Parts: sequence; C-alpha cells; structure tokens
Amino acid sequence: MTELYSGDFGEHAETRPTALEADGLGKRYRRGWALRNCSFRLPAGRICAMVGPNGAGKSTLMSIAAHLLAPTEGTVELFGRPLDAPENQGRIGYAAQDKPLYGGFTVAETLRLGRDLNPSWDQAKAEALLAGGRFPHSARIGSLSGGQRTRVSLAVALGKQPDLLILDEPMSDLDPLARHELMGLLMAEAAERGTTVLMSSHVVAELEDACDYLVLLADGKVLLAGDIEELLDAHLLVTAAVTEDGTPAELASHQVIETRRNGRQLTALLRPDGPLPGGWHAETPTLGELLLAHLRASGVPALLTDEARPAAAAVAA
Amino acid sequence: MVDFRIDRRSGVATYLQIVQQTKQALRLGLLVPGDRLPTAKQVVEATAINPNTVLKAYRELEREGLVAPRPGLGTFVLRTLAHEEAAPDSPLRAELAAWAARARQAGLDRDDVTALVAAVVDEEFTAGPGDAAGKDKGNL
Amino acid sequence: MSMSTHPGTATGTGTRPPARPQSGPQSLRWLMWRQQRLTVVLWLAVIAVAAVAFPFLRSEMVGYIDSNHIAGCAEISADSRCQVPGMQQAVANFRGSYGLLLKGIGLLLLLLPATAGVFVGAPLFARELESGTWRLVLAQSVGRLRWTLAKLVTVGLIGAVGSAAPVLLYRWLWQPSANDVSGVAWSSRAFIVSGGPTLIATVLLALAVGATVGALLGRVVPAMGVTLAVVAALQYGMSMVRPYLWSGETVLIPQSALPNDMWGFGQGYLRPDGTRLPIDACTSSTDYAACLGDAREYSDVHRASDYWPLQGVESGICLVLAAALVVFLLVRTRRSL
Repeated sequence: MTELYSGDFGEHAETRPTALEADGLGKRYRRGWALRNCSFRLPAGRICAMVGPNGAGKSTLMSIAAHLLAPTEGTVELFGRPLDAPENQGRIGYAAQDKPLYGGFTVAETLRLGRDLNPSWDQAKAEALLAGGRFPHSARIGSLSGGQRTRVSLAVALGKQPDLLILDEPMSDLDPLARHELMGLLMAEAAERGTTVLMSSHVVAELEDACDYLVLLADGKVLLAGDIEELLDAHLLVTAAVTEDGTPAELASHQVIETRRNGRQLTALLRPDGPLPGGWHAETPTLGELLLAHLRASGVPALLTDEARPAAAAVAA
Repeated sequence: MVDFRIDRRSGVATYLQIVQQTKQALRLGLLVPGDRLPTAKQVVEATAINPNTVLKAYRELEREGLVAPRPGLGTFVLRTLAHEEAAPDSPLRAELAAWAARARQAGLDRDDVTALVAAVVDEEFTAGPGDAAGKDKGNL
Repeated sequence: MSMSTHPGTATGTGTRPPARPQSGPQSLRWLMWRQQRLTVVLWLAVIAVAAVAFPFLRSEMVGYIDSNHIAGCAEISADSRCQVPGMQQAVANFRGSYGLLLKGIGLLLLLLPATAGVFVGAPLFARELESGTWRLVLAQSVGRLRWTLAKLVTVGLIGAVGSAAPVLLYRWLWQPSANDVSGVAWSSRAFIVSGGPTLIATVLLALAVGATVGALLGRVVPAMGVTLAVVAALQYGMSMVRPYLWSGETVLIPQSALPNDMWGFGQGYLRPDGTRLPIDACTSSTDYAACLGDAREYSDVHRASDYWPLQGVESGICLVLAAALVVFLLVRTRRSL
C-alpha cells in the first residue's frame, strides 16, 4: 500500500501524470447543451474543487467522468487512457449528488455490495468512515437521514480505494461537525494513497481549505482551471479613486474581469499585463472574490494554467 | 507531538500557520530534537486541510534546517529553537515573573502589562534582526 | 498509523498509481440473490403449498376413479365399458368437483407469465433507473454489460425453475383423469399451455418483455402497465395461431363426435371434389339438404401425438422472441456508453 514519491510539489508540476483530461467535451440533452467544449486537465494527486452555480454542468461533467453518461462530443481520458480501457476498470470512485443507495438494504448489506463488487475493497476503511455516524450497521438505508446516507455513500466510494474519487456535492447534507470529520478522513485517504479527488460544491468555503486545484464552470463552459494559488496570483484586485465614468483608461492594457464602483472608489478585478499605473492599490484576491467576479462578469475569456491545459490543446497552441 | 490549529480567518496562509506553530512548539520545548512531526495523514485527518499544504509547510521547515525527513519513518526534529534562558527555571524568566508580579501590585491589569511588554519588545528588537515568529500563536 | 507521510517519503501522490489487478473476486451473486430473495421466498412458499396439497388431491382423485371404475370414461361415452348405470353420474360428479378444480388451477397458471412480467420483469431495470441505484452499482468495479446480463440470467433462472415446478406438479395432478374423466383435454385452454414447456417459455418471454419495457420507460408503474398489456396481447395472439403451428389433419367426423383426445380446431363441409364449405354455409338456405348436396361434415384436428410438436414450436417461438429482446437489451446497454 505504501508507495514513495518524490515530494516535488508545485515546482515540477508539469511532470505530474494526468489523472483526468477532458478534451472538447460536450453533452446535449433535449433541453439543450448542458456542457459545451469543455477542456481541462487534472494532474494526479490533486484535490480539485469543481465550482459553479447550479446548472453549470458540474453533475453532467462528473457523470461523464465517472463513465455513467456518454458525452455527445469530445473525449475524456483517465490516467492517459480512454475511460473504458480495461486498465481503468475500477479506478474511479463516485458518489452521485442524490447519493443513490438501495433503500431496503441495511448498512452492512450496502458495504457487502461494495466488498463483493470491488477487488480492491477495504472494509476497515469503509467502517472507519461509518464509525462517526452513530447508527448501527443493521439499520436500513431507508430509515437513515440524508446526512447518514451521505456517510454511507462516501464509505462505499472510499472503501473501493479508487485512484480518482469523484464526489458530487459530497458535503451538502452534513452538519458542520460531520463535514469536518469526513473531509479530514477524505484528506487522510488522499495523503495516504495519493488519491486524486474531484469534488463539486456551490459553496466555495466548503472546499477552500481542502482543495489545491480549481475548475470553475459556468453555463457549461470552463472559466478557470488550474492550481488555486497560481490562479489567484494571475489576478489582482485593484482600487483607486476615480472621477470620470466608465473603465479608466489606465486599466486598458490589462484584462479587466469586473469593475465595481462605490461612490468615487472603483474596485476592479483584473488579469494584469505589465505594471499597474501609480495611485492604484493592488492586492491578491481571495478565492471567493475571484470566483464571484468571474461568475458575475460575462464574456470573460477562460483562463487555464499551463498545468490545466490538456496535452492535445497544449500541442495545438 | 503538536496539534496544529488552522484559523481560516487569520489571513495567514495555511502552510505558514503550520510553519509558525511548529516553530512555536520548538521554541517552547514542546518539540525537541529527535521528535517526530505528525504525518501529513494525521494532520489532515484532524484539520481537514489539503495534504499538499502540510507537505509544503514541512518542506519549508526542512529548508530552514529545523526538520529532516527519514525515508519510510517520518519527519524528525533536527534542532530546537528553545533558549535555555527561556526555560521555566531560568533566571531571565524568574526576573520577568517578579516584574510581572510588581506590575500587578502597581495596579496594572493584563492588557496594560501586555501592551507595555509589547512596546518594550518592539523598541528593543526593531533595529536588530527581527524575529517576527515571537508573535505566533502556539497551540499548547 | 504505521505509515508516515512527509515531503521525502510519503505515499502515492507524485507517481502514477499502479494499475489495478484485473481479475478480482468481484461477484454479483450475492447482490442478485439479495434483490430477488423476496420473490424467491414468496414463490417457494406457493410451490410448497402446491407440493403438499397436490399429492392429497391426486390420491383422492385416483381413489374416486378407482372406486367408481370410471378410468378412461368421458361424460358422454360410446365405450360400452362406461355404460354401466351410475358411471355417467360418477363422471359428471367428478367433473363438477375435481374437474373444475383442475380446470381452475390450469387457468390460474395461465396468469403466471403476466404476473412474472409485471412484478419481476418490469421492475428489474425500471426500479434501478427510477431510484438512480444503477449508478451505485455501475460506480463499482463491475461492467454494465456484466451487470445487465447477471440481472437477466438471475430472473431467467428464477422464471424457468419457478414455472417448471408448477407445470410438472400440475401435469402430474392432471394425468389420472386426463382428457376423459375430468374433461380437461390435453388441448383444452386450461392445460395446453399450463401443463407443458410452453408455460415456461411464455414466462421467460414475459420476463424479457417486462425487462425491456422497464429499461425503455425507466419508471416502474408505467412499465408494469405496458408489460401487462403486451403480455396479454402476446398470449391472446398465441392462442389464436396455436392450432396452425403444426399441420393437423382433416377427418370426416363432426366436431361434436370427436373423441376427447382429439383437438378439433376447424369444421365445415367437404364436397367430394375437395372444395370446403363453411359450417354455416347452408344455415340460411331454405332447402338445407339441397344446399349441402353430397358434402360431408369434416373437422380439422390435431391428434394427441401432435402435442409435443405443438409444444415445441410454440415454446421455440417464445424463446426466440425472448432471446431477441435480451440481445436488444444487451446491445442497448453497450451502446449507451
């Protein structure tokens, strides 16, 4: 189980193998495109937050990545191979948003399902996840609360010991205490096995401490993707007192994402290109500021860090 | 052993909080050479933070020569930051304790004393090679 | 917690996780049993009741036939052996009691395909789709094709064994009074399906219909309704074409005079030149005799020896249809990803 690794984080990020790579991914339902032209790369060992408003396509993308939904166009690769490659059988753990479980099964029977269906099953790990739940293994799933069912779902997903763990809104039903405990166990699993994690949420604060990688989706498109610190460093939150209306000319050379005016004070989030004009106060935005600005603005060009660019696209560029 | 306490609202980067808290523990003698730091798994299980953040903090401590990894065993403390003069039975500490008692007798309350000490420390250390870590909050 | 993790020597993250061992102990057996055990237990209970009741019933029937010496006697029999006074009454009494029971059981068994299709076939995939649990199973290390096949094989086995048992029991119960005493002929509606392999094949077809409809509709209750309608239509259609599944013969015996072990499925008048007149060709004619001329009444019949060929053809049709639906389901499963 123990595997040694070099410990070169960040500095040699580009050498990390790819866990997940989406290339031109699209999914059309009868009501229209839920996902369109989605491309990004998730390196192995990253804890990735998939963020976006409801209906942005998070669940669709995750279902496709979990090999439960066929894309209308584009491809997904897992560890450098197509999703359905025999080498990839059993490498993904997935907990869907609605946490589907057999209501008539007991908790123990649900674990039995995981044990029977997965060659890499770790019963102790699954039981450790349930331990904090304070409900008996003989309890029927149908009699459990939403949070308890979430716990069982996560136990099945983690007991499988996957290489890529895809969790759709994993913490939504949990109280803060259980959230902290389960996130801790999840992080411990990632630390121990180097599991790559992709989890979605529309509550940014939920994921801020745990994640080091971000994919921001809006209207079925990728707006931001990459290492969180790198993304934050690529933006500046600037403020200055201005008199005239409109975007000041001295910001013209930068990519302005959003400007907000409060009386005479103008606040802008921008992707700087060269030095800022004098008189502007600049600081690195917080993750929340970065995300909100991107979601409020329209027509913002996507920003993918080098690490987050799919290999195929990188070659083309 | 140390427990790290991550304060999200402190504005200090999470990895820096771990670095600072480790140094504080070294300074207070809670960690001594030969001690093993908690594994990344232990830390993240307790704090629910990203494992790469812990590894980044440990790498920083390693870069400063305070700890060293031993393959397969863990990360171990190489040297202490505790000064003998700061130990519980040191003359310096006894003097300070006596001074604190006098300050209290003189009618100063806790805040007055803290402010006074901070002001004097600031004056004393401003010119010299500053040691900002003195303001760290350790977790005892 | 023997594991240590630190910058130099921690586990996992930086290197590619090892590929999974391909052959694992994954087994769908328990899950399949767990999901169908209620059906199995309920049906076993029904079969157990039949297995206990039928021997009693059969020995009573045999006792009645023996004590009244009516073996092989029908209600209206030309057999002199059956002309002994009281015998006709005994046969009538038998038909009024045991015969009705026998008929009732046979007709009840005719409901088995629809029951299996509606309550076992239709929910098979519809329930998984409706509750989203298919995503739970397919998120484990089992391919969707294998899961689909395992589910179909499981209900197929349950359907085959679960219908073979009552068929054999019913056939055994029917034998002592077959055709004549009970009036339940091999060709009767109550027996021709219920007493042979056709019932097993029809149950399998109904299960396949239910599974397919359920997979297409994805909702349990509508799937049940559609399955019921389709299975009923299939059974009705089969009963219409059944006599023509194997070539019969034409005998110059009126339908009413046919022996009990002969199945008359068509009648009319036959002219010497071989042309056939419908049975009611002359009913409206004023001169009945002149209308008929030298035509003689005939019957299209199957003899008892046609029983097995008929069973074989009908079972074969059901099984081929069922297999086609299974192939359709599997291809669809494959294609959906």
